[in-house]
Amino acid sequence: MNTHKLCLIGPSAVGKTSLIRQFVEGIFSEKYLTSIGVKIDKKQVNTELGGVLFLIWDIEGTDQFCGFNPRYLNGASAYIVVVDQTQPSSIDDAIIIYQQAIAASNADVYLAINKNDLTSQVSEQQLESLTSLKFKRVISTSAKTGENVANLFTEIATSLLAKLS
Amino acid sequence: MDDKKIEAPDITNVHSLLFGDNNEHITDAVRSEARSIVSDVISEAIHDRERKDQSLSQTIAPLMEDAIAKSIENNKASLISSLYPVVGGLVRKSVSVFFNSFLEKLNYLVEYSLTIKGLKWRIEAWREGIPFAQYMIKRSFVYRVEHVLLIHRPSGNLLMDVASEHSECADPALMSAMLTAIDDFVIDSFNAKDSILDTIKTQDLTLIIDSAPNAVLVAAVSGLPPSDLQQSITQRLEQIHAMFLNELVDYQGDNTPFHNVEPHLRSCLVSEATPSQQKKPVYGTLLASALAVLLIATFGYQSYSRQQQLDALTALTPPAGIHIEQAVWQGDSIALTLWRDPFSTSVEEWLTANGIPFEEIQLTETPYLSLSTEIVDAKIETLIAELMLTPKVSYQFDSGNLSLEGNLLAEEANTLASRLRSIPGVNQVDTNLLQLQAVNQIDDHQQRQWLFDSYLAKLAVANVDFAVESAELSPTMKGKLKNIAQSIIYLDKLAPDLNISFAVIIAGYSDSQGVSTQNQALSAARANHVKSQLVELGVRSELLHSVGIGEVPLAQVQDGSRKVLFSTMVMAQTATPPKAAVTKAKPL
Ligand SMILES: Nc1nc2c(ncn2[C@@H]2O[C@H](COP(=O)(O)OP(=O)(O)OP(=O)(O)O)[C@@H](O)[C@H]2O)c(=O)[nH]1
Ligand SMILES: [Mg+2]
Repeated sequence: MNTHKLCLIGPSAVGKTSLIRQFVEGIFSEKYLTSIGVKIDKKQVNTELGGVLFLIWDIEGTDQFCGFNPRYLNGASAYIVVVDQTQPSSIDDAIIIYQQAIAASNADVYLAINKNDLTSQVSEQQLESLTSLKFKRVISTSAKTGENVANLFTEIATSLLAKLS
Repeated sequence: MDDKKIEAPDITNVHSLLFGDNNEHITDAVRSEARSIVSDVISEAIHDRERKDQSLSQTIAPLMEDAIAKSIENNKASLISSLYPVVGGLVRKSVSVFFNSFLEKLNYLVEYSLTIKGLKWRIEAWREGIPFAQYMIKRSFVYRVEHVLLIHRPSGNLLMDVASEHSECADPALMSAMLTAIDDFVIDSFNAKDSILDTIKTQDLTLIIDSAPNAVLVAAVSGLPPSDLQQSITQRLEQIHAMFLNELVDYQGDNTPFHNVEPHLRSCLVSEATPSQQKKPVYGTLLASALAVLLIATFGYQSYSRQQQLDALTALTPPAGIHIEQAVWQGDSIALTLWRDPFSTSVEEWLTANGIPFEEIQLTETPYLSLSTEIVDAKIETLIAELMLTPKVSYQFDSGNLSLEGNLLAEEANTLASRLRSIPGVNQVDTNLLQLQAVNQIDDHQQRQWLFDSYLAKLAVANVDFAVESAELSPTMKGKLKNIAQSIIYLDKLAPDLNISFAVIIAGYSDSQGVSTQNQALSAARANHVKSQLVELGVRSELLHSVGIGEVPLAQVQDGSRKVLFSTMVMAQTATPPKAAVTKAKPL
């Protein structure tokens, strides 16, 4: 089975840790503990094309105080940019992060618009400025309800397997 | 109020006369007092308005943000100096939180999972009450490479790993990724150009890490890794890196091309065995007894009453120096297989004392040397008593270390220490607390006399036993004879300075069985034999006089009469011929 490094990046408090936790352990918590450095989890994903072993890197959220460390993307097969639809500023921050990331890595990029269980605070126009960037796929998720969480990871796995064969 | 609506030019004139064209008379009047009026009510007004619709904070917030930003812009230096102490602590805390949680998990992965197969060792370490790593070092290895991981440097993905026997890391893939992440974090935090991690120490293991541009080789080592191990890991990585360069560069998550790396990694699984560490039987036995209990538990329900008897037996804690290997029903009796130190309580005594009929036991006893403290302690005590040291020696025994205290002659101390050292389980004999004296260095006359007397006393109670109708000595008796010879030699050394001359009479006896004339001859033979043995052991033969006493007719001394006893004749010497003869010997 192939092993793939998968990174989650994005502004602070958008739900990166929560998405991984939902995917790996099936748990959601309202409590917010900001991540420091990296946390790595492992999960096997089975698709119609076969299995993939994901090593999922949960990278600390980027804000104006803590810059993005592109080194963490080294060797990644794919990465997911996560934004929070209840936090308009997260969209602008994500655009900057996206630009830094594509400069450092040419892996596939996915966009997760998270917290879809809450009402969106983002205008169509603002969202458009983000979604028009080169994402392999844009998907609306909720770490709380679990909506589209497994789908996102399965889709990445399938795409990686298809690419190899 | 209707008349107010009537706008007449006169009224307008009056209005403007009174209030001014634009009410300026009033506003001017209020303005001149504004400061004091507003200052009287400002706090209350703010409070009331904020309670009413919270519009105030909405209005003020952007103003405040602006103001703060301006203030920060203008006073950066003073702000930094007041924040610096707080931020420093905060950063340190964040970094340490990260590292701790990271290392904790790593520790867990490395330590608690490495030896799933080595469970046996773990149990033994637990029994010994020492950490596993220490146990391993102690029992088997100075160091051992437990696990070797080859990691794809950019991604942190595990390419290949091999483990030594009994070692298995639960999650080498996760460990690899974490190691790489730590490395990334460290490089970023310390602005390093390249990897700066080369070792990580956890409680039980050392991770030796070597990085090349596309690969990292990690060796998890237990024990004390030698300094050249790092170098050999580096060399190995260079070889691998050169041989598999294309595969490393083209790596896309598929590990198949790296199967051929295995022999290279395997060659890193080196270890150094601790010299001459033979496995001591205790541990095997302990394990065997645990297995026996399990075994017994399995077959138990065949017969309830039998089970009860067996239970009673296995529930007993064997005395020190006895280890049950197996206890099972065989026919009509319990077949008990055990190991026993000759110094331990006899099995019969032990079982009888616990109400288990010894007759119903088929005993298979294998002798072994127990290292249990109680047994070793008993051996030490017996040995010290057996040597019949003149001034008393006390001792302390603690986990293999024996320390002696007291007054002792140098010659005696050497024999004592070397004999004590030969007891299995005594690792070290500490004689630092012993006051040593050489026999001919004792200048105090009184002390010398006291020593002389105590050796005489020792000799007086000494005796050597023989078997029925035999003049041969048993090994125990030979040992005893050694001590007797030593005493006579000391007496001989002390005598000249004390102006004493002495002689030892060796009296042989026999029991009253058999023919009387034969008994006479036998008793003489016994005495002669003892004499020649003593001479062999270094005693001057002129000092020794052997006599055969023949039968001791008393019935009650039957058993005790096949022996040789010692008496000593002591004469004080003076310049003039001896005046008095003192018999120090105990009567026969
Ligand atoms: N309602 C809702 N809340 C969410 C969702 N995802 C995350 N949260 C909440 O958002 C907060 C932040 O979530 P985290 O997952 O810690 O965010 P993060 O992106 O890892 O943050 P950093 O580690 O600081 O970068 C938490 O209180 C979560 O409970 C979601 O889909 N719906
Ligand atoms: Mg997080």
